[in-house]
Amino acid sequence: MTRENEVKQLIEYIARALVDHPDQVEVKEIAGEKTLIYELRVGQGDLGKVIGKEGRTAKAIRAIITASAMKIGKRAQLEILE
Amino acid sequence: MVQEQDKEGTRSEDSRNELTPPEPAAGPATPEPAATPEPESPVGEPEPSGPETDAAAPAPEPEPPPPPPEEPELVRIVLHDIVRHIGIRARIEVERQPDDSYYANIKARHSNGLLIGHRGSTLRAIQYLVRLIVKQTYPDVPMVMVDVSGYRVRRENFLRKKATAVARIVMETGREMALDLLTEKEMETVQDELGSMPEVRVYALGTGTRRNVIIAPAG
Repeated sequence: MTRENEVKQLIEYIARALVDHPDQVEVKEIAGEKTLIYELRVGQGDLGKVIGKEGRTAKAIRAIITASAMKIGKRAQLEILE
Repeated sequence: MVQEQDKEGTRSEDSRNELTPPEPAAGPATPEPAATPEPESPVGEPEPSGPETDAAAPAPEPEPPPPPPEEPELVRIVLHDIVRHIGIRARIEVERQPDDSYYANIKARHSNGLLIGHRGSTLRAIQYLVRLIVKQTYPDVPMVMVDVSGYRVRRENFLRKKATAVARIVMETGREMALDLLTEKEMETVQDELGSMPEVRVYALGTGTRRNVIIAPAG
């Protein structure tokens, strides 16, 4: 398992732990040379759970995946999609 | 010779069908024997560096789910999972404080700085998410303070010393001095430390996690 996948798993783990429909959590990874982009999709009605009040949860998830990606010398970017 | 190739885009591929149907239980085969079902979840194992104790993999059985771990154990498990997914091996100790809050210390041999982040930003994010996740199971979970190898304690001691030193200079010179860009919590620490010095007052310019804290003569 590559470390890229671990960043993906990190996002999946956090998102699944927060939403009402963990089975509808999907994370797509777009790996670039230096940047990893992750697209997070959640079930209907769960968007607020991963974004949080004033985006606080989304901000926290971004901070953590930044650290995780830094470990492999990359930048991680998280897009939360409807 | 006119070669009639299919220049009209006859390829009507709608190949964007990446919608995987939600499979109910696509998990791997359960390695646990079904013959001896232990009703208790293996909570009482104080394995400090358990390599593959994966609490995040629910068994794909329609049986009644095992009872969730006790609150402090759940704090430890969630924190352990997050740190592991960040890619760091660490030992986690969770203590109940006298005021009922939890103090969770992450002890990693390496990568402490990575877990702390710029002025504790990663640490704050971890702390926020751990409590949020535990809250899904225990809605009344108290405050959880997450620390990395005692960073918070060291930082608080440092801040208190620095605040006192700067306050002395302010008293001598009668001029105000900027202390640092601090978070709200850190500013409260400074105010607490200087509470016994009526000769100075503390105020901040700005809000949020970047407030420029200033110590000024009280007069």
